[in-house]
Amino acid sequence: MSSQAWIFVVSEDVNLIGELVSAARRLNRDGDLSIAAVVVGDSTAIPLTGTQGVDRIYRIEKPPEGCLVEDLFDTLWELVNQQKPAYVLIGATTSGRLICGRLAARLDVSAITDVRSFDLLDDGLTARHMIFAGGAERLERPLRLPVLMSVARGQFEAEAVQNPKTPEVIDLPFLVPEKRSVLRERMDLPAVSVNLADAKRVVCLGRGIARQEDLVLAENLARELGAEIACTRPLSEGLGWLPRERYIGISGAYIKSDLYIGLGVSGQVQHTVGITDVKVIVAVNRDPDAPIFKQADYGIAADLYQVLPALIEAIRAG
Amino acid sequence: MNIIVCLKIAPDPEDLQIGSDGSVSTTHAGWTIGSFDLPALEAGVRLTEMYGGKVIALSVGPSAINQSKVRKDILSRGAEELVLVVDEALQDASTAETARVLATAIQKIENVQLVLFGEGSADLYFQQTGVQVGERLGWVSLNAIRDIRVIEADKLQVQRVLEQEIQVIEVPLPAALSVTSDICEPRLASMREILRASRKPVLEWSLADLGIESLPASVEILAVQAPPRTARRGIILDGSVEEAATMLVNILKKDGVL
Repeated sequence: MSSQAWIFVVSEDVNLIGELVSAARRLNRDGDLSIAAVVVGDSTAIPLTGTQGVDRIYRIEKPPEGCLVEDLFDTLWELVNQQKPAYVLIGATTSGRLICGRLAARLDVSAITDVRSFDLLDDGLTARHMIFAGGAERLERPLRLPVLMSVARGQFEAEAVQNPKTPEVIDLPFLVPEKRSVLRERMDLPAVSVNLADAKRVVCLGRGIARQEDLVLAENLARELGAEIACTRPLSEGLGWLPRERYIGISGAYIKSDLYIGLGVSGQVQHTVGITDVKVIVAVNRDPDAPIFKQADYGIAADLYQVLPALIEAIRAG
Repeated sequence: MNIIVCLKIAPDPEDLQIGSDGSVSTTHAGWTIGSFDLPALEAGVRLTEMYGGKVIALSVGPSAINQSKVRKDILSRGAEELVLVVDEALQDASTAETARVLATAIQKIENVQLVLFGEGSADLYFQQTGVQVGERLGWVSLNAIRDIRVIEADKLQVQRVLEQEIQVIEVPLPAALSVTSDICEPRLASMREILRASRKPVLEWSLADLGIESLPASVEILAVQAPPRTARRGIILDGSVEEAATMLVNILKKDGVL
């Protein structure tokens, strides 16, 4: 076996390991590579589910008090230097993105982030990922080894392997970096009020809503429809009218509901990238030239303050 | 404390032209500061207003980034200086090349303890460059920062947002931080600041000025294509608002989504 015969999958979130292993198995189409999962935590407590089909598991011990989980980087770096993997796949969580970027810098490679798909061709790997806020996809070929990619949750399905082999488990110490930040406190985020990705119907508010108190009008419609309320980024991050988990778009939620009704949504690409998988898109905007109409199945070019009560009325009458 | 804020100047994703064959053109797109970078600039300016020092804005890219409108936009939002590293080799630079050039430029600027980045660039949104620059500088490098306070001359206290928790972290300086887009609301430039902007210094460097002789690509870009889109019907419902609403409800029922 050559010195570059490994695929590493790395995530501080063990729940992502199964999906990453799935992606790694596709990279190992010819079966000539070995797969190693790099996990972190209390070595006796790490659930090793999802590691089916891996040849080796590296368990980095849990971070000492005051260390960030990303400080595992020094241990990982030593391991990467030693094993020289051909591919490194990292779970695209916030921590994963940090680990990925640091690794890319040390290796002088560009990580291919949030990979949507890849192909193994005779002359190497090509991978596809999103650019221009979802307006385009870019097909790239990494020119240097190792190939470093980050993979978002949900891109590859974790799969069970028939007759899985028992992986070799190697425990590694957590090397505390010399220069580091100190974790002083951690607070659980309040439970997320909604998971828009699972909503059947969504009523989405855009800048056409003039006042925060008018949200109640849209809530009335949402109640009639059994829909969740969502919004565009300015209403959440700029105005703070709705929590971040209710905003749809490039850095927010991606939905795949049956129905989406946009109220006063103009249809900027940063937003509409989040609704491409919706079955039926309805747009209400008083500007007949609003770009949202080009991407909608049905449109009403009128003032949402007039359409809202009429729509509620029509649903009740129907 | 002098703070460098790195900004990506790129074609506005709103101005993309998608051809019928799925081709993507930026030829007619206006170049602007990335919308995720403006909160980083604002956060930097607020820190200097509270603790002294100045903000130096830094951007790298092809000659298209060097436009008076963009320069004025940056300098009217509170940056005191602007450094542009302009070279056509940066046209399709991926994160490794961009991070290398930024890190080299930062080392050339004196007395900098903190470098801020936005959450991701408006055109690529890989969320990598800030982290890579920090690592290349050998500084502490963190992402997802939503609050920054100076607690000692060489120490910050920051809040960081992960998927399920908020962390309070002490960060030794120098550091490179990527901030979230809700860290603060970018200001609108006042008339006074817009007038003052044209008198602020703009430095233009080439790769040669940074001692970078060649910038080999780390990835080859094979194709840029609009993703396949679900075909939409694009039916505008006419008539009075009441008629349109009734029509819509009937159609949605027929489509089986109500």
